[in-house]
Amino acid sequence: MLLFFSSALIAFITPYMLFPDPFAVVLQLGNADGGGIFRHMLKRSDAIWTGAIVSISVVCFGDLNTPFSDLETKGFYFLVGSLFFSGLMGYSISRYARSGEKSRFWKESEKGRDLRVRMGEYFKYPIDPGSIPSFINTVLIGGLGMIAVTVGAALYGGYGPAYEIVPALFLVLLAVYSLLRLRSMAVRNFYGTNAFFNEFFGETIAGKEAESKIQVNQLWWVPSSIKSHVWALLLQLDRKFPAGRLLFVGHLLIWLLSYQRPAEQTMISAWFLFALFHHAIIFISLSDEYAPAWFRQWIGSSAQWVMVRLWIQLRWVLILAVSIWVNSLIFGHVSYAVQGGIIIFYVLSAGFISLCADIYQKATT
Amino acid sequence: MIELKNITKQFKAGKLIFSSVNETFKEGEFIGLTGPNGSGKTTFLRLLSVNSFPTSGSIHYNGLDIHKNPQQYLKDVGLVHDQESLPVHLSAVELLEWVLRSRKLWTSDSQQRINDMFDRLSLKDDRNEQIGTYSTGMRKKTQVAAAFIVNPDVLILDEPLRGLDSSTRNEVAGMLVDAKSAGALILMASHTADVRADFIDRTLKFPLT
Repeated sequence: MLLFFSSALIAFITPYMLFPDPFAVVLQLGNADGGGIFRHMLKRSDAIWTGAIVSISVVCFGDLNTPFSDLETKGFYFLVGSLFFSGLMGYSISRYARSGEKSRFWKESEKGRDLRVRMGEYFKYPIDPGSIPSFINTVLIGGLGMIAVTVGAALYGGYGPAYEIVPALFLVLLAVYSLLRLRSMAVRNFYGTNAFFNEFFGETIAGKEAESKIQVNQLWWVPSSIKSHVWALLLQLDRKFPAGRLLFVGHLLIWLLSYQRPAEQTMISAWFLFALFHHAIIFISLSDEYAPAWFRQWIGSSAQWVMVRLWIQLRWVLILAVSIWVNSLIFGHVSYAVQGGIIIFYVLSAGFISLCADIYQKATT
Repeated sequence: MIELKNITKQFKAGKLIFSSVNETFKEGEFIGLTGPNGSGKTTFLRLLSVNSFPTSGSIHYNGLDIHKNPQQYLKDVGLVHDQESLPVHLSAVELLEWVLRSRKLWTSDSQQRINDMFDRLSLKDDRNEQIGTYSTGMRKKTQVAAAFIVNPDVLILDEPLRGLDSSTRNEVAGMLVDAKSAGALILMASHTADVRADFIDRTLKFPLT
């Protein structure tokens, strides 16, 4: 389950972790070579990688009742998990780091404009064609991770536990091959992709995009005392961080999981974890980039900002409820009582995490 | 020295910044970039500093496509970026030492050259404090010093004088004249009032039409 969600996380978070790179200016001053830039890109994934390895080790070795029993099996699964995560992460870094040229083509070319118009007419919403390569990468990497987990489970069932390592080793080999390709063109790819993401996130909102931006009075579901704060944060978050795309992939993965007819308890755990996963957005909103200290302290009280983050999270609750309900109608995994429990958990955890985030922010600024 | 061949830049189709620009900049030339805010000066300099890529066309430095070979090009380039992104936990002196060592230009007299540079720019004792404690002007001095310390053949400067006091501005103007005399190509976006007109060989007026 952890590896399943890791796939979605890696697939989505990699470009935001790497680009735009605030150190690009300094790398230019030192005119870093290919090896230096390649190491720099890998190093930027250190925090996520370390966090994942610690999580995997806690899951594998965190048995407090019998901590020293069956160490061989625990060690084996730690190895499988670590290889799986490292391989998928390496492959993801390589794909995203090489995506700049294609992304720029779709964003700036006439072909991209035609696609934008056609998709705009079809979906009734402006879709930036520059994000297509990233979207393909997200689906490809998330899907690859999920397939690797499924194949590992099938090999386990068919040939025994030792074979579960095969997909993880395949991912590592794929990552090594892909990273070697990246390394040979690291400088060009780095500057190209960094330039694209800089312009992608930094461009002036104009034309159709400006018309489609959310207006304050559209937030009818937000109390008036915090409406302006919710509006300001939502505008920024939606421009920088397409959370809808991440959650769409999350829903897709969880539906694919349920299609495999796992045990009821597994599905319930998956929905609870997914509900919790939504709140990663709260941590992103902590950045000074969205809400610098003066903005938070002068313009709103602490209680208001807790409510703001809670309300921002409420916009996903209906989609989550409908997704669980329809999924349960089709696959019959989750009872109505548990569905209600998941939604209550979603709201309470959003409030709790918002509160913790506010306390953390106050302690660190 | 630098040749722009049919350069078009648009952030998306229909949002044109400039179209089919052909220019040649020679060594020892001082090119001033002027124009109102948002007219494309910074985008132009970002293209020349490989922080932006053209929608079509190419830019060549002594025959080398700079966007295909950024490292070979950047070794000859000194940059003052529009963003003041500097490592906050290094001092200005340490930053310049890193720049020189990273570019394999460190020699026995480098420390003295760094100190001379900061003496000239009037960054006194603070040069040994962490950059995170600097004012806007002090950061700008650090950026200017980092651009000049490598004795570049090409200087790309986006508002290098902004935030500097008048005596430091004069000093930087003197450094620009020295660099030009030594054969460096200088491309500088600045308000016209910042630089004496007789330093500038040619002015590119933005928006480029």
